[in-house]
Amino acid sequence: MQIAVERLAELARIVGPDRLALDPGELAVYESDAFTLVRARPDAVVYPADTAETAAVVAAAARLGLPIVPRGAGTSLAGGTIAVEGGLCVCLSRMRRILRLDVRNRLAHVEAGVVNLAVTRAVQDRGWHYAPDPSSQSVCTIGGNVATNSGGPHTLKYGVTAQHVLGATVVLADGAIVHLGGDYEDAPGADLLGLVVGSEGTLGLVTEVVVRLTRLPAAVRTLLVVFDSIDRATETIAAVIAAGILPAALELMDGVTVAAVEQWLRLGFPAGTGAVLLIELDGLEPGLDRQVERVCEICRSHRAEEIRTARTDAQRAELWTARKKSFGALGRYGLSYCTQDGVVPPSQVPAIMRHVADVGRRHGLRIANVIHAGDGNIHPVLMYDADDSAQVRAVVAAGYEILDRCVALGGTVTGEHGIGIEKVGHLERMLDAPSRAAQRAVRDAFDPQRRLNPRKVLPSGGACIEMLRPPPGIAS
Amino acid sequence: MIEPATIEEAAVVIAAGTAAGRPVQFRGAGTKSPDAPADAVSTVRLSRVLEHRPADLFVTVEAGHPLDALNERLRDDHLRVALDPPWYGGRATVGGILAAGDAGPLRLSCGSPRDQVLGMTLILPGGAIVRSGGRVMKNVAGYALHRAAVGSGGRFGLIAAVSLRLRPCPAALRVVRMTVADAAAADVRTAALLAGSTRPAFLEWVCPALDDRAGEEDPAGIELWIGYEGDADAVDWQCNALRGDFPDARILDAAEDQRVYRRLRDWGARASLRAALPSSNLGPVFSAGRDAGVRLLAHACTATLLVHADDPAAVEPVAQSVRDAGGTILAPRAPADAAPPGHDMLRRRLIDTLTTAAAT
Repeated sequence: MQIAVERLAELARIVGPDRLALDPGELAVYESDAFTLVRARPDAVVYPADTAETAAVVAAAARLGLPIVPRGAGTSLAGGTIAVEGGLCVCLSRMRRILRLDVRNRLAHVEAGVVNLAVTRAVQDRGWHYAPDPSSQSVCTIGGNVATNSGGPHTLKYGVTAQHVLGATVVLADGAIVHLGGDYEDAPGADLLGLVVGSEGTLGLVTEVVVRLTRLPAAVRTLLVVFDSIDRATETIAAVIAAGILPAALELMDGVTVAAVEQWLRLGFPAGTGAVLLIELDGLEPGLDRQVERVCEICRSHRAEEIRTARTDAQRAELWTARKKSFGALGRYGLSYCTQDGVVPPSQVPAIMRHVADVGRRHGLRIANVIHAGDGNIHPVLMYDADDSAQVRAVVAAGYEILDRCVALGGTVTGEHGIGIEKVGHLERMLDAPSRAAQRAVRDAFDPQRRLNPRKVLPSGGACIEMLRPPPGIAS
Repeated sequence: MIEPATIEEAAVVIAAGTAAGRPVQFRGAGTKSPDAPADAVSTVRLSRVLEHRPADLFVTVEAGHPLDALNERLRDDHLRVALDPPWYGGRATVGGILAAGDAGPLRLSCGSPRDQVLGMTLILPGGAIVRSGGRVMKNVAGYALHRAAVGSGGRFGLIAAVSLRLRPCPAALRVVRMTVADAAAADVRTAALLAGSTRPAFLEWVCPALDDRAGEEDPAGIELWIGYEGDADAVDWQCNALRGDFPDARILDAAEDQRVYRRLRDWGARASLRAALPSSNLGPVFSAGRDAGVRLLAHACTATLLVHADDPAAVEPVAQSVRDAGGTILAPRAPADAAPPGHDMLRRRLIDTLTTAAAT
């Protein structure tokens, strides 16, 4: 949609000309996020300073009939912030005040644009942290985390965003402000808050959030375990979980990833490594080493090649290096990559990893795997040449095959990235007709005109983005 | 009472009721609302375990399954559903507990009822059987109706089946008691405990004392009951660390731990008032309650307040102190406790669209 500039004068009056971007060069930055298969440019970007300004902007957009795309740091891996219908991008990243820290009540009240890690940095000296830790935590925003119900490596033990949000201030499609939940459990509107978390900006714009703070663990043990085959590693994961051990984190990197990391950082992984597990146990000092020993026994019984342990923060950082640099290392293959996100029950991790390998072989795609293995959240990284349209089609087809199998194994099509535009078709296939109708009913209750983040989560008029449809040969 | 034997049967009954313009009421074991209309839909026969997967840490049950019996069964695998609302003789059903959002002492360490639900089968007011969420810990595939339904009292439809998160059973439980003179002292100790070296599984305030210990301690004081769960060594270490900080703390005999924990859990079964408020504002509410001569218990860090009063009139000043403290009356609600208009409007629209969704 093309918006006549004069119609935007009202927006300029609300935020001032400095915080309204219309220049095509500036708008180009906002035509995609971390999902690069689809691009679309908004007609304008506005940067409100607080909740009241956001509400005024949304109310004006309602009068003008403009679609609104909320955006935080733009780290969505599912195209959640792409302005597929143009319109107004409301960028909340300048709303980054921490409004209140209250460790007595275990909470922080922050604006939506506050960076995830900034919350932890503000309280860690006092022994607290904000537990959800997505990989992008040094840049991604709390508002974005709420939109996608973000996870991260430590959510295996500590839970995802939904478990750490007590309240939110939400600007509805007509510009009305509602406060859902609050400073304590069972505050009014906690049920509606449960819906808003993970709704990807389609039910309202979350402008402020009250998050739960969690004590930092008193003691941490980190193990890095090398296996010669991915099957042994995935079977180890299933065995650890089945043994009733709840690690703080349980991450897997496959051989492709390890080779890339090794080539770059020389961390001493043996050639032919099939997979590496990063296992973190935390809690109180007493009893922790006994848990570590149980985990080591399980690893040895699954024929681990090598177990490295960290006892100091420095050693721990060293062991995490391989995991944290893994995506950067994959960039050395010189290709574009699409990071998939699916979930299976932990016992099905071996099966899904075998399937991913098979899909890669059949489509001629190089696939690396960096996964939150403990909770069955897989992240196959599909590498491709963006200039080769056949490869792009293969990536889309492979994504369908992998996610369909996740669902067949009892899992789901996204664990932490969201539906965005990428997975509208996948969600449609996953749900039966009444459940799809219920999803539409939720959207219609909050935003019947579907102006908020249009064509995300649910298709608009029955259509999903053409190129992301299931390719021929994938049964619907 | 209508007692459908299957989820499909329940859906037919609900659809018929809605079509006839009769709002359908739901009932589990009736522990919280003993009087139900004759045409209420009961989940009592919807009590099957649909899928039990210990290695994947989830169980799927129909809503009428009693929680107690479920946890009995899970104990063989050293697993549990980490929900501990009042026991009600073991009758309270999973669906009823979730619809009421009923929680207990362990909410501090294990999270809210909403956090235990991975997915749900819901029968919408129009009769459609829909699914939300799934069986895995991480899931952002669509709007989480399963989270909205928890604590909603059935307003979005009947919770027909749920997949619940399972956790390993702790190896040990120990309980410590302290008595302090007044609410201000209780608050100081609570703040110190939250910031201290231990990680309580629960932290309860009780006034007057749980047991009559005439002459032993300050009868007008507030009791703090602190529980630790987990590895036996870690639990013992925490009890001793707590006594190091507060020499007056008494570590219970091992034989007493379970009994006291159950009393704290079950205390709310006959509560005349249930409220929620910021943890740091409990002090003035306890003072008001003591003045009014009622009995009080709070899950102090997740700030659920429970009140017992023989004289209903004695409850009102406590309710008012909750409102003054920025809290919410959960039950029974007075006109002053109406939902904010914005919430009401959203809920009404949601009920409307969900009801219509069944018809399309």
